[in-house]
Amino acid sequence: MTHSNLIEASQRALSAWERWNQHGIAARAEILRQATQTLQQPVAPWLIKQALDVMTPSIELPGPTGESNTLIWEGRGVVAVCAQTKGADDALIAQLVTALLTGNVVLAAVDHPVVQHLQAALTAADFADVLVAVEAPLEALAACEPISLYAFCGEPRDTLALNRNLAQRDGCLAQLVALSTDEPLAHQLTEDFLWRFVTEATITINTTAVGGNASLLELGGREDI
Amino acid sequence: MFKATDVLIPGYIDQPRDTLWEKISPLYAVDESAWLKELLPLAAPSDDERNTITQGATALIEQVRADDDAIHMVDALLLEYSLDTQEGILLMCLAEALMRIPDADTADALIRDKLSVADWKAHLSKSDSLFVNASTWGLLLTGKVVSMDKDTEGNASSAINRLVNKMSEPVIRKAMYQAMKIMGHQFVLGRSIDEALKRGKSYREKGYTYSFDMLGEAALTQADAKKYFDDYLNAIEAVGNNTFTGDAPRPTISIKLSALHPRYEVAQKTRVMEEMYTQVIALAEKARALNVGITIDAEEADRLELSLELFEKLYTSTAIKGWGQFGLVVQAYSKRALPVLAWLAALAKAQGDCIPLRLVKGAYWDSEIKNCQQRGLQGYPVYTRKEATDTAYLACARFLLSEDVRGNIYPQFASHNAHTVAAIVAMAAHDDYEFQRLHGMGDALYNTVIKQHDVNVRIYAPVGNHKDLLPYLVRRLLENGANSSFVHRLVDARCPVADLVHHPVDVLSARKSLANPYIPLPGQLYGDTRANSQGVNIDIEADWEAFAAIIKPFMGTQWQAGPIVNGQLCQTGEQHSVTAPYQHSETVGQVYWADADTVQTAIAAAADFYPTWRATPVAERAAAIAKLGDLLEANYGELMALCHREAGKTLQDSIDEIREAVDFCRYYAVQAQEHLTTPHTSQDFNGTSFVTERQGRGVFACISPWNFPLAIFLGQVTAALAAGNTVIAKPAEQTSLIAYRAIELLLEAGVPAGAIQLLPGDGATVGAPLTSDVRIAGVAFTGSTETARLINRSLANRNTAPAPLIAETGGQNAMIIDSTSLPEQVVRDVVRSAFASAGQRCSALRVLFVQEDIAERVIPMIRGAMLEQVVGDPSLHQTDVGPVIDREAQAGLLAHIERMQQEATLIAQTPLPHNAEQGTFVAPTAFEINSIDQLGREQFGPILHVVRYKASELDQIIDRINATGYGLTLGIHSRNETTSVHITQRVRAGNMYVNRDQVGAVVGVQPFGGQGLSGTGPKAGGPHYLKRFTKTVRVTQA
Repeated sequence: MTHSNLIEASQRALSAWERWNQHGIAARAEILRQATQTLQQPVAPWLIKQALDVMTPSIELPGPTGESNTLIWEGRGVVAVCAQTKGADDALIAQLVTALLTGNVVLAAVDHPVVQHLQAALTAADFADVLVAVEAPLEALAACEPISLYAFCGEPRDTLALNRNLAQRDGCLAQLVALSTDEPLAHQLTEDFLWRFVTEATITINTTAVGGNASLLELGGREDI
Repeated sequence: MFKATDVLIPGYIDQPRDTLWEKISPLYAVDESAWLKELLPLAAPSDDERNTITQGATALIEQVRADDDAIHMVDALLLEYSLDTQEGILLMCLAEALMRIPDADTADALIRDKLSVADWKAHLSKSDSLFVNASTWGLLLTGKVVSMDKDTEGNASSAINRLVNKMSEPVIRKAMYQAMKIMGHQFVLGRSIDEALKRGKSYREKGYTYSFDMLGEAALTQADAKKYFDDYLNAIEAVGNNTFTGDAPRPTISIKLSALHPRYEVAQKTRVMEEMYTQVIALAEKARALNVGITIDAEEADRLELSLELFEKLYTSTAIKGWGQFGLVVQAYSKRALPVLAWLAALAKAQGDCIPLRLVKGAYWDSEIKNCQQRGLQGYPVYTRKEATDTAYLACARFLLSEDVRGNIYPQFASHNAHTVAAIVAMAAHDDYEFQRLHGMGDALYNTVIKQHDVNVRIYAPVGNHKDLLPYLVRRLLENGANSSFVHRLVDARCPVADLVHHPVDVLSARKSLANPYIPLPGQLYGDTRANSQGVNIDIEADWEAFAAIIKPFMGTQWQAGPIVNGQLCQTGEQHSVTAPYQHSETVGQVYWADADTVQTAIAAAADFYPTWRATPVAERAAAIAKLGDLLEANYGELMALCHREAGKTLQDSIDEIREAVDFCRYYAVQAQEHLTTPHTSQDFNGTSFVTERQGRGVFACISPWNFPLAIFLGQVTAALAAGNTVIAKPAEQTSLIAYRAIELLLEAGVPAGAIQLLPGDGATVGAPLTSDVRIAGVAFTGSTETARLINRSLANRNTAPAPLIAETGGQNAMIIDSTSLPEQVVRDVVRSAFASAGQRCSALRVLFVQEDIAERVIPMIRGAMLEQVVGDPSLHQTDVGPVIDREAQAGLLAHIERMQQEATLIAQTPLPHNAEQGTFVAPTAFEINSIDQLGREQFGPILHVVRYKASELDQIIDRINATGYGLTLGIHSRNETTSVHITQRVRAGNMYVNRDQVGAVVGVQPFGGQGLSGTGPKAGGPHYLKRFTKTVRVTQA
């Protein structure tokens, strides 16, 4: 696949991103849960459960009355799922499921039946372009600027090489989430692994712009003590 | 403390005025309970007085309720659409915005946004008021139509419905405008003073008189101030020439000072005392010539002392001396009200002219509280319980009605509370006073009062265009429209009379605490979790004088700094002089920059100490970091001076900087305790249980910028330390002195010398060796996107596993404003977002998108407001914008301005001070451009770009913003919630702010950081930040 084909594939995935990202983790989890049911692999349901348990979609933060402050998280954008090692099924599923679950769209640069399987499920759920299969060498992928994060599985020296490649490119600092073949996968799938796929946003609303700090007035008028 | 009952001692007001003045300021945020204990005896009634008040109030309420015509106009509206219902709030929100929206599409969208979510049917026919019922029918029908539109959206079979609704929109809009006009008619006596005089005639025939006011937003520009001045002048002439004669006193004019000058602020005192003085004198001369009394309105608490000083100057002028019709308003909710009254009485007695004085309870209560919470002040300038304000009101009233004050002050009691009215009548031993009420409110109450008592009643009546006044009035109403307010309960027959006639002294005394425990002091905003950082209110004389005194000793200090390795200052490498950015002839100190050997020694020291620090209990690490927060506050004065002199920061920016640093220390200390202490038990996907704990990663390099030389510097350092890493801190070359002082304090706080190494110096000598060294386990960086890439490459080129790079970089930050927004709020927020800190904030606004329908209103206002900004010495209170950091930054910004001069349209440029060439100043500048695409990289300074857009192009605008690749901050100004939600969902930005400015993120409240080209995350000051500095380690199988 040429550079321009990769860019095109990224744009295709990006066009689906906004709707997928806004679909919410619960709804995405349900689609992925059903899609991975037949795989008979424990890693996918385990990751989905972990994410639902740990990744609260929004957190209300404290602050002065008359202002709301909410911390949310969302997908980073296009995630390239790639591997230098054949046969690491669990790791591949973990990367794909996590990337999708956390609201990203995926360019899957791996030749594995699970990609087609997930594509079929996503298409059935009206999210056809959320997962795009691509055939491209790592070097080409690494040079593709629309990709925000690389979910990679391979040996440490391959990870090192990919990291160097990524550092050479312009655009945003690409994130690299690598699963190593040198370490048991179960040891690498921590809570931090999930959070690496997302970016956070804070939304602050001055709820008194029109006038009236209702929550404060309520506190000021309390008569119970 | 000031002894409240002393004011009743005969001769009290004969004290020297300066002595009485000195009692005012210290009460600004005095301990509420202690002060109320002082006030209670002054307000407390005797048994006889209590009985008389209760009987009087009961009789008043019963008579009001017996009057079939008691509930009408605003009272009726408030009763039906109580502001504790969704419909009440939505109606007011609509009223606040609708009439100013020039374009039909946006107006329709706002109507849809507000009306489709409420249950209007529930209000149908509940009110006896024809106006309310007519409005309800209109809202019900409208609400149904717009709901149908919303419900059927996206459904193919609903095409016909949508068509019907589309055709209905102009009709709906017209109906809503009509409803808003009716509402405006209720709130506003007349659109012009002539109309107001005409409409007020019937009330004057009943014995009422008036105080007219051309209320509205505060002026932000000279043009607006001139307009308000002309309005006041016309009003004075019209009232003076009015030939109505009757028994009641002549009407007066109320003046809002903030409308007469664009910078009515303590910081601009010199201008206020000269320019504002001249304006008011001109009005007063005309008023005196026409025998029209003037009352100066009260505004926010910060302006109280300034307003009194101005009043004194005006009152003692020859233009006003001997007149006796020049008065002012005092707010009883202010803790300073009583000494203010004593001082005014002394002023009047000394001159011999009576001062008409309106005593109000106060209309900015909730914004005062919020303001103090945001600024971390030591307390509140107002009481936190309504009954405390009522008590204070009666205490003030007793003083005003006392024999000593009689003849010096003519009290004008403004209240819609029957109990307050009865209390005044009972307390008064003479009849030299009057009552005041707001137009449209309290009719029945005061009709009864006038009949029963021989007392004057004056109606405070807003005059002006509904479009301009309604937003202001609605906001005031919302601020005061709580369900518990007496206005509401008086006309609510379900509320027993007995409940309305409790004496506030009794109610307050019965509480467990005099201060409201539900409203924590600003310092306790985060409860038991952590203390809020202390702010200072430099607008309050007593606070400012004390604060200035702790800064002054350091304004001539020469600091010495250099690398700190293992706790020792290394006097190696080159020594560089630091000069003040605003005055290059002023040397601030000298810094030794680290050389190559020092860098290596520091890395080795940090690596050696890492195992020890990692093994140090989290609680111990956290305690030292929290202690640093306390030490920063203990050294406020020195750090302020360093912020001014080394970084060129203004007073408020310096306070904010120190507060943020303190908050980081306390927040990360708490976060470490919460998240890093306890081992975590879990089960992996194979079903195996295991236990993990978090550990530091090793040696972290913290590379920080000059724009937040204390806050970001310490934010990175304390996070890395709290997480269990040892740290090598490389501050920006420009701000090494303050970094050095911060590390000294860190060591004093108990962080071991091996855990923290400081390496001032340049990127080539310090930064590059650090990021290429395999002993560095991670980097926290804040700075330019380009430098972040270089660091990333340097880290990646090492022969070791990838290390975390937590990068916070730049932004091309936008603000989108639509035509529902309030221009005055927008302009204030734009000017602050774009030019505060000379635009040298990562979050600063760079590109403002203005809906074209309001551009011709907003852009000239921005121009006018920019011309009022003061650029200069940042250590002066009057300065809004200080210098940029150095010549390189200045040259880059000036080059961009030069380019924009050719490619864009200049909107405005703030004048520079006469001695600007002695420092590195860049004039705040705004250009109008066609598209954000015209801009390349971020310009890190006081340069704003403005783009007009069509309402229909909103999504294209969002796409263009996203296409820049940056994603740091975004501002939105819209009254349409649907619009603001749509924008926040679509724009890719890390920090989004709705209906406020977009700078000044608070630690733990607004975690800060961007996405895309703007940073990697996680957010600084957020719950996930510390974890990125750690690794999880399996310690055992569970």
